[in-house]
Amino acid sequence: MSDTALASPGTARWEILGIDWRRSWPILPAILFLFVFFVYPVGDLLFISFTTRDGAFTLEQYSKVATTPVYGRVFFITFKIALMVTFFSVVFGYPVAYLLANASPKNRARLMLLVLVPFWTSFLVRTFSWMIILSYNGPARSLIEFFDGPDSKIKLIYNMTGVMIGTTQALMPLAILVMTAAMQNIDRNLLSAASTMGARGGQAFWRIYFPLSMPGVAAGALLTFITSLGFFITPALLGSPRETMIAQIILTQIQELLNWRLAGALSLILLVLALLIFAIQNRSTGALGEADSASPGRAPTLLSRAFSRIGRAGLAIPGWITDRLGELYERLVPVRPDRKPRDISGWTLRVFVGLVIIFLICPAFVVIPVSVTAGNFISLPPQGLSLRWYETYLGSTTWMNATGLSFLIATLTGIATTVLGTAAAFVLSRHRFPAKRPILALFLSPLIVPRMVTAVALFYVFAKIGLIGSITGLVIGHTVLSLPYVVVTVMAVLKTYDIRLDQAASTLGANPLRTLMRITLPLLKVGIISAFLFAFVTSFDELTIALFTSAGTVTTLPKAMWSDLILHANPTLAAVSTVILLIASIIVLGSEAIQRRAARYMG
Amino acid sequence: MNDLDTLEVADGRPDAKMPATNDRPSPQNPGSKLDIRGVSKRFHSVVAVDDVSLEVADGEFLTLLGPSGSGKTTLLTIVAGLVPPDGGDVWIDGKLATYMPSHKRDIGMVFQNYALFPHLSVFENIAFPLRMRRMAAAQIRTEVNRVLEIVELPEVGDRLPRQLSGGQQQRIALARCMVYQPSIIIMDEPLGALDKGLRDTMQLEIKRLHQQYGITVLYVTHDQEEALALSDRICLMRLGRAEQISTPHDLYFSPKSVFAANFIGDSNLIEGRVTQVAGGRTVIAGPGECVIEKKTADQRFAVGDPVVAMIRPENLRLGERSQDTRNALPGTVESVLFAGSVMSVFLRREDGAVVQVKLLMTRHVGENPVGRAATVTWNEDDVVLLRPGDSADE
Repeated sequence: MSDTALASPGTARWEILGIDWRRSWPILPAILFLFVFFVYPVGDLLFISFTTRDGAFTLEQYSKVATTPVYGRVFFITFKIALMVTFFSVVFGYPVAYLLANASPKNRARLMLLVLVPFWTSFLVRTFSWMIILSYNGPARSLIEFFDGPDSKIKLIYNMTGVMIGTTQALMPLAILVMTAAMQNIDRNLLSAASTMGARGGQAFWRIYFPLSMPGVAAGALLTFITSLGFFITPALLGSPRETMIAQIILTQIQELLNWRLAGALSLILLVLALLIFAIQNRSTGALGEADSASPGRAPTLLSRAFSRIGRAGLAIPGWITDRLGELYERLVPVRPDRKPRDISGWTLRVFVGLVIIFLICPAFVVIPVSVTAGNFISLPPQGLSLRWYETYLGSTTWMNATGLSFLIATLTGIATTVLGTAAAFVLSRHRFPAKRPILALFLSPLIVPRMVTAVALFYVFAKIGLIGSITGLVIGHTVLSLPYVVVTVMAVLKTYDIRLDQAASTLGANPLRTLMRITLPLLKVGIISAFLFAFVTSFDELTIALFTSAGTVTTLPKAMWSDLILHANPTLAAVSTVILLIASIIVLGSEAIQRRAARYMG
Repeated sequence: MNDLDTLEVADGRPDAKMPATNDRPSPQNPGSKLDIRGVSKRFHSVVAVDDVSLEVADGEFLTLLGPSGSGKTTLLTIVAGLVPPDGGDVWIDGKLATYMPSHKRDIGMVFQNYALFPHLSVFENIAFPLRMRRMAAAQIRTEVNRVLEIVELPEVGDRLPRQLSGGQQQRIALARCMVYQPSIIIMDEPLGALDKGLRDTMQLEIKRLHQQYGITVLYVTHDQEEALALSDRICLMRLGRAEQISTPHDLYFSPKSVFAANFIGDSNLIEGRVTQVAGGRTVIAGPGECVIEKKTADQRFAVGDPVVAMIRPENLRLGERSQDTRNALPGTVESVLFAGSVMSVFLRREDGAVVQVKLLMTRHVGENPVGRAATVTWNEDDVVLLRPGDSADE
């Protein structure tokens, strides 16, 4: 099915940008969609930041940002938070990724499910549960008072600690996912080889595994960092005004001051910073997720050799320390050649990973006891048992409308994204054309551009064409955000799909359409369903775009929750959160079941 | 099981050098580099290695040969210390090493995909085991250059592994093991990833290094030709057990079981029943009129026993149809396979079974024999009598 093989004299007329559109047309709708509802709006927003009201060129907004100290401070804090979150996510996520990458496929699937639970659970629900746990009368406070006395000055919420805890929990799964993918490419035999050559566990890890895992760590850190740059929910709910991040400032500029130009300027700065970091990282360690750092064929320069020598010497130190510790332990408990050794390091790792997974999963479940309280306030443990807050939820037209609307929008988004994304993924993974890399970058860019920037840009464009406060507008916005996930998921499935099956069908007399309907799509069913669910969940949990473009007329579930969280957190929220948890669990378990059934014939 | 008997160590035999740390006997033969005794390993319900014992002498090249799932790789990883056995002992160079972590064993291992560290230069790859042994920098340089000379790749030290060809990577993997002179080098299908031509070259190279430097090798392969070409002895494995341990020559010409006969080379198996074991003769009633005779009385069999007579195809002669029934089988030539130096002729016996005859080709090829009636004959020395069924004689 390679393009060159089928190239005919008539091809040239249909070729634009090196793409044969007669065969690659299915990618066109998705590209057009992104240009109209992503590239153009973001570009437009950035453009107006350079203009005055009558369209003349000005740098007024940027000089305002530069001269007002508060913006500098906010940028500094944003970077500080993003850096710290990245550090914690990578350091605590690394052992989890290590265990995942080196587990048997069966165990890996199970562990991965656990790591992904927070990914599927609503971000607002998780933030809300941290508010319950960390609050002044919450269980975390009781723990502190138990150890530090009732007058303890340690505060866990409405400060940097709260923001760290909430954001790290939100982003660590992302770091783990990226690092695991890269670590799975590291050959297990390398550690065995090091061991047979006389390396203890420490030396083998620090000298061999660790350097090889660095590209994965860098990719994970990059994605975590860029994503956290655009955060506003956790600092708003778990932090104080001193932890204000740049996305919150943009939000205020629009919602309260309707200052498009300044918001555009701040967005541009945020975007440029994100892209700059992306470019620097990309240059230093190779493309996102590619495990091989050193480029093939390129002879090592003097400088790179010097660096690698320094790096090696540096890594010898932790290796030396861990090995001395190992020897010390062996002096206490000598190795016996006639007894099975106890796997101390293995168990340490497992316990640590267990604690991280508890940190990732368990907090969300506090909403369940809180939701069944009989009292008027959020309290843990609940005061008495009742279902009154569920009655409140079910009896409230606001909540019911919001729930119904979110379901509708999520379903529509799921369908739109799956159709656009699957078609694009087919072209991207099956056809060869020179412009592939930039087009792939276009599809992934909604992940890199901070969500707040996308939301503001869409708001600006929707305002001009009257899509504010419409279901269509929300579906469009959510489709932009979930398209990257769908494209990546379907491309990953297509990568393992044996194209010879299609060729076999073709030689057996099936035309392309019948091949697609009877062979290709049924075999890819599982991948496409999980892509749909990804899009569904992304939309169901989406707040940023809903905040801007819904204009108070169409209130989605996250937006209704956000308003309550900001104004008056009450046990109804716990009841709503429990319902959302239940829905998420059904979706996760459902997709698991589908995948397990498919595993029967997909090897 | 004669070979096995001589190899197995009589348990509890008193030994002059009893190690102080444990009450287990040290190896019977202090010169042996590797001594595996009664090692077993099961994964859940699958028995991967079932009570295997074998010994590798200093400078010996021993191959574990068997189909996939025969337990050869599991046995190898047990020796390397990568998987702990459920029972039995492993001695390496006279020291008990059953549960020693692999970094404390004196072994080297060549992996199927070589396991060269991709981020380290060839020099650093080879220097790695020496650094782990805290050798001085100057000495490391000398040693690495020495083994690079041995594997005939003196100028590649600065390159990364991926910049080398498959055969070169293979040599570097060997050099990395040879540089620290371990008691034994373990090789796990090291030629599996190479194509046919390169595989033959590397076979010669491995053989050269083994003979020239006297290294002791435990080798794993499923390729019988490779095993026959390289080994001093072969341990044929089947279902986790050592089926037969012999020299390549004995394994080929005196297989101890139908399985061994079938696994190594091509073989014709002719079923029959013993009619006489006496007077220096063993007589077997074969299919039809055929009588198989050997000039020795094989005391393993009694009159009336079922027996399988194994004859290698190259030991059969193809002739005109004759009335002979002693050590002769009539049939019709059904098909012919020409493979260059050798031609295989397939003869359909009168009872329907097929006999394969291998003829060494000379320039004079007769007319196409397909369809002709013919008789195959053999020398009685070339007949190996086996018990029916798959397993070895008990």
